[in-house]
Amino acid sequence: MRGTTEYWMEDVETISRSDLAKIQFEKLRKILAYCQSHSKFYQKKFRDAGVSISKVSRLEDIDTLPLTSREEIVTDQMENGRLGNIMCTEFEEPGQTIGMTGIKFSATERPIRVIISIEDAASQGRLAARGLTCAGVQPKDYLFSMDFPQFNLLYMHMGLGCINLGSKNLSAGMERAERNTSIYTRLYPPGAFNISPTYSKLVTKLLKQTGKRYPIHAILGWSEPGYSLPSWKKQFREMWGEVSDQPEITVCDVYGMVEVGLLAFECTNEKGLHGFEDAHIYEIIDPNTGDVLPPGEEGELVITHLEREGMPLIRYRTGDITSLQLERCECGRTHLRLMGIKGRLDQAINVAGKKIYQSQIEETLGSIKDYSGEFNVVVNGSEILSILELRVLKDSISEKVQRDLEDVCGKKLGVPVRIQDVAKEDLVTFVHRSQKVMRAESLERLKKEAASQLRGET
Amino acid sequence: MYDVNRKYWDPKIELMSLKEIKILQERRLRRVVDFVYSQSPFYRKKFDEIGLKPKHIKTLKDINKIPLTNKYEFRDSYARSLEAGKLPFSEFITVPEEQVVTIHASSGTTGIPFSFPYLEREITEHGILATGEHAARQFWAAGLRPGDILAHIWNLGGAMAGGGNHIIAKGACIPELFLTMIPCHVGNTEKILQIMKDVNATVMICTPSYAIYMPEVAKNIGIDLRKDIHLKAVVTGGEPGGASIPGLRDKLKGLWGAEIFDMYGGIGTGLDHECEAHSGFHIQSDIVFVQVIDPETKEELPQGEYGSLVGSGLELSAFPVLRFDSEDRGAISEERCECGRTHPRILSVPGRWDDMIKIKGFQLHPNSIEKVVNETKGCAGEFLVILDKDESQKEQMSIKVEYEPEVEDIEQFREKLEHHIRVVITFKANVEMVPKGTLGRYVMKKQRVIDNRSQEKKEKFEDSLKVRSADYFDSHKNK
Repeated sequence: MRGTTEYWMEDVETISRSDLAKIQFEKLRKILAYCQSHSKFYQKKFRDAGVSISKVSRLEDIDTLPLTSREEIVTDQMENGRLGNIMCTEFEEPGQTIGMTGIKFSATERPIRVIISIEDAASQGRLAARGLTCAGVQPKDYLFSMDFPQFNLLYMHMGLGCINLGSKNLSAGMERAERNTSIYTRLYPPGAFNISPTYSKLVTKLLKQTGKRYPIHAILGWSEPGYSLPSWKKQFREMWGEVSDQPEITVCDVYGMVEVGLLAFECTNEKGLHGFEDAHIYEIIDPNTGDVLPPGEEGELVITHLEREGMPLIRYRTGDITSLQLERCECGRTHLRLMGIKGRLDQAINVAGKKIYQSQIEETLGSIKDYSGEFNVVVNGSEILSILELRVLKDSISEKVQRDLEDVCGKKLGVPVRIQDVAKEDLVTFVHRSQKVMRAESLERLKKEAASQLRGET
Repeated sequence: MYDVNRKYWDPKIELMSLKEIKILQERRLRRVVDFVYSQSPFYRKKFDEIGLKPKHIKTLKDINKIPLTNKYEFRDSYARSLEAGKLPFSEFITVPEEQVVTIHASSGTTGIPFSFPYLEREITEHGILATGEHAARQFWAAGLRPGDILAHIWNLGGAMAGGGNHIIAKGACIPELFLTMIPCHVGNTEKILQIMKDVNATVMICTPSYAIYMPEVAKNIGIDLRKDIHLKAVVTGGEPGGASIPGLRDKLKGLWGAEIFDMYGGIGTGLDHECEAHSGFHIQSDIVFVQVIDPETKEELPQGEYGSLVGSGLELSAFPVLRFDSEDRGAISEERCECGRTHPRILSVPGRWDDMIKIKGFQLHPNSIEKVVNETKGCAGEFLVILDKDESQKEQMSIKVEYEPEVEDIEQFREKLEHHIRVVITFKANVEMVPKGTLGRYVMKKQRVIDNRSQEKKEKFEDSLKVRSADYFDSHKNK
């Protein structure tokens, strides 16, 4: 239900910010000591940065610690093998789980391997339960989990979240939707879906074909620009509304990464994604200088684990652009909100000196009625474009609409826009998760990914 | 004391004397029958229809008073529930629906697919695939210990048995899964092989056909399965594997350089795993009770005889299973296993059930003969079993075996072979040597056995060679 204020762990979720800061500081000191004593990676890192963790005497001192980049971890794992020196536990410790990042759309194709302990998984399971409740899922719901399971710790965490919450989990996965959704929806009344926006399109189409309406009231998902986009919220609410018999449907964005875990969930007020500040410290930095930016300003999200044993990350550069909001949300939760994920830093394109993200193009096109939203932008490397060329399917829009589009997009994005007609085989479209702004160098790989996703549906 | 050098995961249970096992099973049976009768409408109806009451079930023999169930009845029940607008398992479920945490599906292809509701403790305690006691005992028996890394190559999304993120997640939160686990799912095999190499995976679990397929991919990406990957064990399941398909175990062992541990899992039989003796699947007798019945008369068969496997769960489950006739064929052996474990073992039929030979009340499978023929130098590989009645109407078996032209003293060869076969199949069969190529036409039709004992038997045999007719489930689809 929209605007409800149910909590899974009320005292933690509505804790005062001053108490929260105390908890964060305590946990930060502990985890820094833990990393120092258990990981050669961090010993070297702190040493090289000339940092002594004992000097961290207040929460604000966190910015004296060095940042950690994905590349450093990739190098560590390549040079030292297995999980690298960043791993803090021993393999003999029972019940650990290994995952891997970047399985679908990694720009560099160099993944990070991640290891989590039993406690780590349990902690994420609690965060997942909080997040599910936050996003409107109820214990009575049958939650259809439609994410890609391979090496994907987030899929796992959501499953445990379901068990903790008491809702019923159906692992439908992210392939053969026709078979999987028809098996499960015939037997069990879907109440909630954890599904990416692109996959939503396919699944709602299949459900529509049954001619039935289902008690679906909560949609949540991550990846792609996300359900945070206002035009998307409208679009997907309508889309799911056509197969639902419920008076209201919440469409909530979720954010997480395999190496970090679940990071933020929108609440049913749908005004920003609530973080879990007792489990992570969220910072925004200027990606060029590394300076910490104040709330409200856009920059790169940096995460520090407060509850982690396997492979804790200290000031980890996520590569994602967003901004923070500290003001208390209507739902009563005091944990900060991420105001949507604008996009990945390394996927921004430069048009006439202006940085443009896929999400901005999506939001602009999404507000144009009756447009399917399919487009490609192909850029060579870090080339600066003078005009933003949107490739759309030939004959899918009239000339007048095309001119309108160019006009509207140009005004909204603030850069010159041209619509380019292309034939079907030249437009890369996805059925599971989309990437529409592409680098020419990755085009072949993305075409293969698109083909593989399509195969997964047959 | 956490002794990683101990031989058994749970010595108290795994080495319990057979007598103590049966006492334990009887206690649990009485408890579960009480629970199921009062909580599960489906079973209460079954009991009431024949005037059976829980108090009538006191011993393990009494379990035979409980009528059998099969998957057709499950599906009928599901259909009825759905038609009445209820959840499919509503006739079975023993607890309020709120307590169900997950639905676990099996791969139904036509008609109404199977799915079972689970309570949280069912995943964490005795467990399903890769969780709970089942997993711990299975992997410990395969020689694995904390520090080993498991590539869990199983369909984790998409209504597959043993899959599901929830199962893995909960499994990841309990020390019973003492291994480090990689949720590999299936597909993108290059990535699976790569991560196995990069983190030094030491065991993998997958279907036998996937284990056969992976080496092809490994070859294409230049990964040497014996040098780049060092598996101690390959655990197979989900389809007939090394225990029932001749030559498969050796083939997999050759490809992977690891010991192959097969497993069997069915409704009501739990997960039954191989030990280092590879001579059958140990039943977890504290969790399930398994028996064998004659597929025709439905009477319980003594140990050693092949028939249909019937399973009954001894735990208090959301979806109870009592006397479920899986129609899977096998036998149970109560003889003590080499490994020391006392729990009886399920012996799988060494090949297709329809090929099973029954003669003079005795069962044997032509694959056992095939093994001898393949291993004996001088045999060309082809053979034919002929079942007949002699002049005094006594049943007899003779075997024609093709020999290679190089064989010199044919009579001596025949005598040795006859003796060898007799020892292996423990049955007296006359062996006749025939030149290579004689059995040509039978070989083309893949006939191994000719049954001339009666017209009826002859026709039955011929029918069994035909492709099975349309599934029962198709008729459900049309309902």
